[in-house]
Amino acid sequence: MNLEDQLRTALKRREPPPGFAERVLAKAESGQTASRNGIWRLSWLSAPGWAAAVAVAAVLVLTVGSVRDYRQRQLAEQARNQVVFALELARSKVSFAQQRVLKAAAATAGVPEKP
Amino acid sequence: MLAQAESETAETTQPVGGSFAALVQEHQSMVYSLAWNSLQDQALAEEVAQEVFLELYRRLDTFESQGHVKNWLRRVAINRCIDQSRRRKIRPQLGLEDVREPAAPGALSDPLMEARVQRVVASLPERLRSVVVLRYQEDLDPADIAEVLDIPIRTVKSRLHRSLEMLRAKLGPQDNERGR
Repeated sequence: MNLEDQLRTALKRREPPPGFAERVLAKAESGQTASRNGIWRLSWLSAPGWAAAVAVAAVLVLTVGSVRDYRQRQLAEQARNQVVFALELARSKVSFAQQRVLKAAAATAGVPEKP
Repeated sequence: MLAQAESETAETTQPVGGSFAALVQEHQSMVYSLAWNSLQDQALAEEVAQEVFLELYRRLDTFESQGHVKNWLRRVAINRCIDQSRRRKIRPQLGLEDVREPAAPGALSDPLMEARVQRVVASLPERLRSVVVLRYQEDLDPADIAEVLDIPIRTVKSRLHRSLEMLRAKLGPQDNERGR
């Protein structure tokens, strides 16, 4: 027997274990029932019902988007106010320091030099 | 041979009729054997064969002819086996119970040799194994294998050639000696 004949013999068809077809049919039947239930669960809403559900979902999405936008604007406003406050503070400190320097310079100019 | 060709032609054009149960009865041996010869694992072969038939059940309305069903079953079974082999990194699990009894005293087939050939086939890479199984289990010619696997005929021929070379090398000189 050559290799090809050996392969034909070794790989010839074999019967599946007993009860195979019955198990397949039982699974197919139970799968069909589950599938029907699944379709029923999805299709119990009528077309207007689906439209209303989609509309509600759209409103929800828009609302959530608006709230998020409002919150972001609030945060931006707070950040802007903090920056303005910091600039004001820095400006007053610089102004104070400038006055001190000027005073010190004037005082230094008024003192007579040692011989 | 001519009778077989006529039967195949008739089957190809025959519309899908009858029940799903009849289709399972008719093709269970083919689908289970494709899975068994590809995976060398009885439980896994049954699982794959069941999945293939359940997929057929879901798509039953889409088939136009018996030939279409048969080719579809072959294609899906082989592809599922390739997926399974890749997923689980199949190692051949061949028990003594899987070795066939000799069909008749004095028959040429040797159960131990068959088991050895099956193990060596199972050790081939998935793509080569599927071509070998379709060629020698289903007795398909390269054109039919190309159609089932959706690959060029040249690729089928080259895979068959490589497979036979690998099988000869793996089976060793004593088996090659027997093969001549």
